[in-house]
Amino acid sequence: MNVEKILECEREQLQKINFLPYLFKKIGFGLLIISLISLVSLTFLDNSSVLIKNISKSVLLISLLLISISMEKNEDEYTMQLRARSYVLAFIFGIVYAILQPYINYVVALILKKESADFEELSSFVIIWFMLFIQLGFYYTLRRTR
Amino acid sequence: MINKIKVERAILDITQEDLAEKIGVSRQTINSIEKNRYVPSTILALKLAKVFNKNVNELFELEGNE
Repeated sequence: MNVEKILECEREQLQKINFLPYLFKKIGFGLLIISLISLVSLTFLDNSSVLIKNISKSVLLISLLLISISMEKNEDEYTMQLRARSYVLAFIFGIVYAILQPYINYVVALILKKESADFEELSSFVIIWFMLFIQLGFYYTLRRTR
Repeated sequence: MINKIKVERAILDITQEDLAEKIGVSRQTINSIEKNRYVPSTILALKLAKVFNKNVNELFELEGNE
């Protein structure tokens, strides 16, 4: 395979995004409910395992990702455009959130405690969760108001 | 961009649902096109033109400084 063919192949693959079938959206919602129930129950358990909590968090992120990248029943070019717009908005909001939120948390902690507070970076879970949540929120709002 | 989809649809006496089915999109997409909230792709514009037996230029028109 020569260089031109490789470039052509890359161009085709990059321009063509294949989303998952609608069935995966249902699976995503199922996993979302299971992970939410699991996380809520773990907060009430005193001796909850860190591993189980982390697995529940990962399942939550996977479920939101499945919902995000699954096609609708009646997917067409307009819904694809709305989806693309929601990804752009989630990307921008996610970056702004990741930059600003630690400072906001720090200032709020200073005000409430009225003493020295620790500056803490956001965890990857919080940032990814926020971005997926924002993407789905914008997508369904755009779809509803189209 | 303005279009005459609604007028042409009325002439053919078909519903948004019928038109959507003919060109393989959702009824909401047809509604958004008719209300000028969404500008369809060239492929979709050509499909619409084929249904109404018109040229794309007869269905879609640029407006103002576009």
